[in-house]
Amino acid sequence: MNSKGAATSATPTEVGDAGTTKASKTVATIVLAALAVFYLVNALLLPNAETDDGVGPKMFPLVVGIVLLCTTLLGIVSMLRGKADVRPVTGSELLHVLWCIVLFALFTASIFLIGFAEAAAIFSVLTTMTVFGVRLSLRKAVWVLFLGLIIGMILFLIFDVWLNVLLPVGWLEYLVFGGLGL
Amino acid sequence: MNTLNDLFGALGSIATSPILLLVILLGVVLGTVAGLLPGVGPSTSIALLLPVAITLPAELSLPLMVSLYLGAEYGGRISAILLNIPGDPGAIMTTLDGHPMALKGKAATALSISALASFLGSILAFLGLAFLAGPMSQLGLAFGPAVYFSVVVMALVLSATLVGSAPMLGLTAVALGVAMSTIGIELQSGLPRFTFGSSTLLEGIEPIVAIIGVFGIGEILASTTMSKDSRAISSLTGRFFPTGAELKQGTLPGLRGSIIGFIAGVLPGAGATIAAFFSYGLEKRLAPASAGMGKGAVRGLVAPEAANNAAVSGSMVPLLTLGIPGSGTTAVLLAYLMMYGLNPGPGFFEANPVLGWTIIGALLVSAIFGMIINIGASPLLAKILAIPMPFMAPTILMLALISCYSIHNSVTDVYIALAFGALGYVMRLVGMSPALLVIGIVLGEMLERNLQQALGLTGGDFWAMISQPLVLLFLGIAVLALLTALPWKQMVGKRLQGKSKSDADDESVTR
Repeated sequence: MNSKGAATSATPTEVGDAGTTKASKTVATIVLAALAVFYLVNALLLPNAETDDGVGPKMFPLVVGIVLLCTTLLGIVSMLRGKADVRPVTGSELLHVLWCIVLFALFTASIFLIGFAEAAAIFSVLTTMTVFGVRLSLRKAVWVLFLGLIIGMILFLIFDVWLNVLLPVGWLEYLVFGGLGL
Repeated sequence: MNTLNDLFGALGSIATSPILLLVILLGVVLGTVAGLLPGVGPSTSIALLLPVAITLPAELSLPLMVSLYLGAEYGGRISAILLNIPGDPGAIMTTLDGHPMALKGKAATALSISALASFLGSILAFLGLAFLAGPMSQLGLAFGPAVYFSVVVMALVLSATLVGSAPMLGLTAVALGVAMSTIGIELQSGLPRFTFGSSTLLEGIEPIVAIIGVFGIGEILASTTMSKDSRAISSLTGRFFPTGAELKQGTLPGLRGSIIGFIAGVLPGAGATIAAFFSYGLEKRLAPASAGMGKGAVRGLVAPEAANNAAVSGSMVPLLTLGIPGSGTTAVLLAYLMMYGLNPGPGFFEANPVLGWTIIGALLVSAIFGMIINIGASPLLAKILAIPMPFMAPTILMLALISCYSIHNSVTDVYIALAFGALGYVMRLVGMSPALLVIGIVLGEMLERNLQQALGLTGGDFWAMISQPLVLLFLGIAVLALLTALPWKQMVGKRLQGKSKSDADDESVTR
């Protein structure tokens, strides 16, 4: 009956320390309540361009907003009463998740600055070390960087060169693929 | 007779097309690998494959996608048996008897038996799909916008109340998805909604971006605590071929699991996970104590495996004939079909007979390839499990970036996917199914469009719209499902319990 996430994500036993469900509930309550309130407030602010048959751009979102707020409140209540399958979370896990989000955002921003494959290589080594907490010696870190570069180049070859999904080109892609006129 | 002609025609064209056979084989292999890796399921792999698949014509890419879906259901059992971690949600129940079998030194036997069970489920459900698709499609043609609106409401409520840990959180996820589907220009008035001045949001949220976010990125965020050391892979010991006694033990549970799986697949929202859950529950009830359910029983392994594969073909019935996704993966497929300008639902088979039957035929061929690969290449597939998550995650995230970026050649889509990924992570923390959010996004647009059309036909009279018998039937089912999910049921129960307790106390006092 569990969701995919509950099924396949890390279980508490896989976390170093036990963690608490309170943190999970707090994070979920803040996010879900904020989304519901934000949506309903903005639905109320929509222009009321009602047509003859009673449907306009406002009615549907307004009904959805009210339903969303009600279900969110009831959902939060059932979660706080222990009716939901809440996964304990530790502070360090939340920090790792935050790191992953920041690194992915930086990776996305940097592909235009240094090229896809180069950004992918740096992203690989940083994710392995900071998000997953794998301690790497300098030699191993260089190895992971090299592997990331190879994977990045393979993906560039498949998507950009073969499938025409235009990815930002760095100096290495230019030397390897652009220089050869592929 | 027409059905048989169409079916054999499609199978004939697949068998005589080496490219199509190769594409289906590729789909099954990729699906099996995606299914066995915890954190990468069918939805994620289909979403990540988008930039590759969209370059192919629909006649090739859709068979690729359905074979990937079925392959993932085959692959999910490998990590369930060897690692005790289900590779995909449909394989949760497989861990209960599959892993104990592996611990008894019969890992290879468990993999073979479960592959055969998956094959049985796939074949029987394929027959169900082939013979149900035509009549269901005809039935769908009779539906007007009002009936369609009620079918979508029913699908949303059933999905919300059946999937996930708490029905109320399920309803929240669905409502959130529907809310997000309203972002962008409203088609009737042409006015922008919730765009906040962003030109990217004018077109609305691309379902594929949301899918890559909640499934691809969200799952990686949820797996940041998985380390290499936490995985203890069982070695591949035991016979590869099951004995006659083991096959006999598994036959009836396999048949029962296939039927349950197919029915669960057809129901909106139920899907592979619930199919496996119910079939395992039934076997547990039917099995004698000596069967050793939960300790490596063959029937406990066969039933859920047959059921989760049968659910794949089952979930294709509402998708292809009514345009209603029965699961998260079929929601991804629906979004994918729409990208090709195809509208699954009533009239789909009449408008695209070759494509429709090729999709169904591809499921049969995938089932055969799946069995061969999953029995023959088990040792190789087991080795893939040894790749640690810290080294796999960056590659999946790179693919996620490319998949989102390729849609409009814009990084804004990547940031939107990242936001959905964060939301998907939060949802997973409290047992909310991200698939429900996706179903809400995909069906939300359909819900509003049909409501607008239906109200247009009745001059804005809502009561006239819902007074049709079929509308009342579908809305009635939705209301019933909703009533069972409401929290006041427990309050009333407690009150009644309290009352009966006080009555009993009074009675005992009177005595």
